[in-house]
Amino acid sequence: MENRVKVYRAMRDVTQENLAKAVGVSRQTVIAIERGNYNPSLELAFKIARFFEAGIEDVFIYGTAGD
Amino acid sequence: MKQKIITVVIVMVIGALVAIGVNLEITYLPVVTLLTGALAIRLLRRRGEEVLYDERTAIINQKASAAAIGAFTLGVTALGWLMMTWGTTLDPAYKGIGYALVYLGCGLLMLRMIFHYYYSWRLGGWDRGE
Repeated sequence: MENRVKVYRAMRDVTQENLAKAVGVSRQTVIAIERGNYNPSLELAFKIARFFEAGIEDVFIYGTAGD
Repeated sequence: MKQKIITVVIVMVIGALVAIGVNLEITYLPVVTLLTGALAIRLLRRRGEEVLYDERTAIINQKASAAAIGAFTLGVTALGWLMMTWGTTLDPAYKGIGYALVYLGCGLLMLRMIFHYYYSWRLGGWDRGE
């Protein structure tokens, strides 16, 4: 599964730390998600998408490399 | 990050004080140190804003525990079997130790099976479909 968390974060000018605080995870988890090393749970994926005021399928793309 | 460093420092101090207590045979020192240290870490986690435990760390813990149980069970059972089979040529007592190790491995597997069924039940694995 691929994601566009880094792109959205850059667009909104949000730091990894602020995103982590907003969705209730550690900064290391945000880093792991951005690098594609960790696929978040459905709940966390929804939280991240809502934080960016975007649809979950806009932020997380299923069916690409490493799914 | 700051919270993590403080936690590591507290754990190091606890380790050092427990070691000193054991070496100097001061019985109350390890107990007091462990209790105080546990309380300090708990307070730090409550007050700290930084999230140290989340779903990713939960998965890491699950995987690490499963791997540790697998490796330990395999190691203990293999060592026990070796001691039961060939250990007696070195010392007759090794047979008893071998049995104990193999039973330890079996006990661990049974405990794992019990918890497996418990969590399977808790998480709805036994629910009948409609």
